[in-house]
Amino acid sequence: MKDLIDGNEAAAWGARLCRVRVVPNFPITPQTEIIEKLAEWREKGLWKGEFLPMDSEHSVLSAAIASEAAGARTFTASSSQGLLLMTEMHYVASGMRLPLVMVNCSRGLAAPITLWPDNNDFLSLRDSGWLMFFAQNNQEVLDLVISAYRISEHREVLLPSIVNMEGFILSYTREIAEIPGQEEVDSFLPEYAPRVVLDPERPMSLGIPSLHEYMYFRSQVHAAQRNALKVSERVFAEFEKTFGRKYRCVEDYRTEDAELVFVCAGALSTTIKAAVNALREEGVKAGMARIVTFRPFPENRLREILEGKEKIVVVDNSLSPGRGGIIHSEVSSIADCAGVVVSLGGKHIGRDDFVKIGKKADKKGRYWYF
Amino acid sequence: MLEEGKLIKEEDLPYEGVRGIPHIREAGNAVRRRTGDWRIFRPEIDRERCVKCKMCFLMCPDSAVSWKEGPEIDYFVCKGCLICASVCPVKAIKVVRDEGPDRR
Repeated sequence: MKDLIDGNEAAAWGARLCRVRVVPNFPITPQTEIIEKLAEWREKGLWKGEFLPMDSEHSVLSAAIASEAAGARTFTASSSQGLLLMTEMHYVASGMRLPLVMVNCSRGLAAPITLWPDNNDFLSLRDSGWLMFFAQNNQEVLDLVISAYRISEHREVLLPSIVNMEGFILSYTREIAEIPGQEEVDSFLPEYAPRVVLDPERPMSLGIPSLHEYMYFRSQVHAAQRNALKVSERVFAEFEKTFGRKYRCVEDYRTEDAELVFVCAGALSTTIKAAVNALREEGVKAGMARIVTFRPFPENRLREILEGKEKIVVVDNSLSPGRGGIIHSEVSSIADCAGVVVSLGGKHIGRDDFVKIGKKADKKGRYWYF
Repeated sequence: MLEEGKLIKEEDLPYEGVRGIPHIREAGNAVRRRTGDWRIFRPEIDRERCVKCKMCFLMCPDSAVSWKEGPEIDYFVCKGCLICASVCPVKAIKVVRDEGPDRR
């Protein structure tokens, strides 16, 4: 069924179609509508799950961890300050190897206070052990939530996932999206059948203190992340067979003969695609590589795409002060590239700005574009 | 667990499925947990001086001191907190730096 929905509704649809059983929640702009939508559906009997309003985001993720550990497929969503308040529990979820899924509507971090998007909140989870997916439009938000459960719950992975969309740009902008049928999703995503479950009949300690073995258990999170790259490609291939939409860990757009390649992630990529087309019309052979799975980092695939390219420009709407754009720093480890920091706190940037950046940036420089 | 003292390549790091989930299914297993290797200092009882007042036995927070003819310290469990030494009214418990087999 096609419908005109915003990113928040797409996220809520993803959760509903995955038949999530528990949604601990706390509202925050620009994520609130995800929670409102699920509440509405629950009232109307369209979604039958536990809707748990909590007293803070820290409690939200604590409850999500508990319900997932008890064997219930769990979903939640947050943003910005809320996501950061959860951070302590993010590491617990990955360490306990619980495949819950959450959505983040990215929003710049205080101070100063903003409501508009950049990816610093999301990227603060870089080292948390969560699988991290960047959506570029509302369809992808929905599709990545469904895919994320499949990937997370795979026995070779067993890690939580977070799907990111830029707040407002996606979360409050309506687009046409295809909402898959329940039967289709059921055939793609089997019931959650965990092997390690908290059960009062069979008491168990989970997330135990473990001094000498700590390094072993964290190494397993890393091994699981490594597996997730292969599992993601397989799940995306199966997703295409079932739903007809194709995803890869990195999307390449007109990169084959490109001399200038933008590397980016998230919603900015749609504007960059327009800039790529504009540059092509002017005779500049431009292309774009968009990172979909940020963790695990698709190193080999990126290297393949970027191999031998004359000029690579990494676009970041995030900043590690004292270092630079966060994704630039990651891509620097596999190729010589320029980095440009743009659109912090959602500062407007358009197609022609990217055309200018593409033409003027040097191969290795670091830039800011206001 | 993985072998110690060996350099392994990233791609050879094994994935061990549910074994990699930090969980314990069995109840009452704390008795098997060696906490003696946390110890830096080791309490030792001087039998000549001991007056068998049972203070060490009563005050040990981890029940590492049992009572037979007199106090016996279980070094598998004793974390070396030295409360026994500090409560002993006749200073019959010596404190020595531990380099024994229970320390790793």
